[in-house]
Amino acid sequence: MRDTEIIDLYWARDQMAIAETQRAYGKYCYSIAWHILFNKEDSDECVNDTWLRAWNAIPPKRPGRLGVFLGTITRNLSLDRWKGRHTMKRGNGEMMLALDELAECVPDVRGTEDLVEAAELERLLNEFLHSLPERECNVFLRRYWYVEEYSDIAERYGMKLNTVKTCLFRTRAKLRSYLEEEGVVI
Amino acid sequence: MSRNTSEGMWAHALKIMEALSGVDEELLERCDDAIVEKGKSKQNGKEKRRAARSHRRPVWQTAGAWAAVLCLALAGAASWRGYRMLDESSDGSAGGGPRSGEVHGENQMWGMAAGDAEGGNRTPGAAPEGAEEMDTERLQTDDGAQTDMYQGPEEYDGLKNDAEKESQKDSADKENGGENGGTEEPDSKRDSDDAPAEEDIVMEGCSRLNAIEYTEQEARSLEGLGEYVPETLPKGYVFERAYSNSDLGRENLTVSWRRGMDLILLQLERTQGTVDVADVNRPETYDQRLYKVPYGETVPEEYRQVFQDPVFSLEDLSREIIESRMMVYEDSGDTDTPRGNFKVLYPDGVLASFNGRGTAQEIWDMFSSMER
Repeated sequence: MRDTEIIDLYWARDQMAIAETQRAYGKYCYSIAWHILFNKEDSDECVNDTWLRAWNAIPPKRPGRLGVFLGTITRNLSLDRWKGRHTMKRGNGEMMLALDELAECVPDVRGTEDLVEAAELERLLNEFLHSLPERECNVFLRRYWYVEEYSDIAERYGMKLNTVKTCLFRTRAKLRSYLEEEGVVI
Repeated sequence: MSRNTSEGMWAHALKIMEALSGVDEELLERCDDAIVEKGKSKQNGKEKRRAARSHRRPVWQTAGAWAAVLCLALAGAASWRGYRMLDESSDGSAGGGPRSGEVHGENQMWGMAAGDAEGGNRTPGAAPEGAEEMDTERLQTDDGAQTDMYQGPEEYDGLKNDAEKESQKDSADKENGGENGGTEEPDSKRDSDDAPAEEDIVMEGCSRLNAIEYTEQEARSLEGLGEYVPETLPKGYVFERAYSNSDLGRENLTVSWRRGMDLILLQLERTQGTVDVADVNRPETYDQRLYKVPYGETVPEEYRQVFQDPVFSLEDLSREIIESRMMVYEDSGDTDTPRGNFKVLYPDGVLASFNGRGTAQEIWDMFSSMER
């Protein structure tokens, strides 16, 4: 079933919408949750919560890209759940590694600047990602949006493992410089 | 901010991680699109790696390996000949039968295993040349976009295997069809030819809507539900699509009209059981003007089911009722046409589900033009 047809089912308040969404995007959303949470039960719950959120949001919303819309909900729910479970505590999975790596991007700015608002940080990140070459941007998103392992990214794009690592290392360095130039304090 | 405390750094990193949720959809979509190309790129990568490997290795090393393989093959062939000769001389013709049968059976097993790995395309009894190709990489490549993404636990691997079994079953069905005299209809052949390409683009596991399409005129002239297709529509709307879903198992008709970004979707069906109708004297159960968005947080739970999609009986339907369901939402980039949804139950059991946009007066006029 096409996205528009699934969205029509939501608008018609037809509960088949959930079943069709599960069929079309169940694995996709589960995969996002799993990479962040590394736990089956939590991932299942996040995916189910995603369907509930989608049910409450459509209508009035009419997402242009249903997959991305659902994936973003799953990701946010998974991050919230992850925070609840791992408050400043080390755990398993790719998430910790990804966070360790992202910590390299935190700019070392000391001044009178105010803490950057979340919305402003989003805008800056978008601007930064748009400035990257396509492949570099894709690799960055696969690692830090989908929290995928290096080996998966390498396989996906037909790259060598070391090339992926180097690519991400450089992108992180660029991001840090960019945020510092913008005077961002996180 | 201390850069020495790793906990603090994680908290900051988490902020970046969360901010990434607001990444432009087009960037994410572009990043997802590459999944479709995966099989291709992986194949190319594999070939490249093979080419690079053979290029790097000294000739003597490769030649040595091939010589060893050749020696083993010759030794195997010689011992097999000896074994057959010994067998024939000791047992005679009576003993030879079952033994050769055993060997054939073994070959069949090899053939089936290879066939399994190839998605059931190999015929039983075929030589096991493809056995070394039985790797998960191949299975993943054949699988498709979403299955490839998955790296999780067994339950979803089970799903992956189910998908494989489905495809094996399909191919086996096709083979059987061929053996039965090739009675496949041209249409079904066309469907099976088209399906993989579409699955590549859309998503694995999505079935097509089993719909019968109509023109607007045909929809209006349909016996029964055709009479409920409105004559009058809000200004500017043009017919988009009309169809009946054959899978629903009851009389149904869906018609949509479009005006730029605005849509009116009308679903008509003949109900078979009783339908709970909203009490119009209790506006708190259906009037959207009484609550704020998100409704999931403001509408009391006991009203929520009715509130989401209230059914009004035809005699209760009025312009005021429609007005209570047509709201303007402030979404960036959206039009300011009111939008809403509700259902109307007609005395003969026809249920008309409305979703769409227009002013209350326009929608009222539309319903007034329908069969009453």
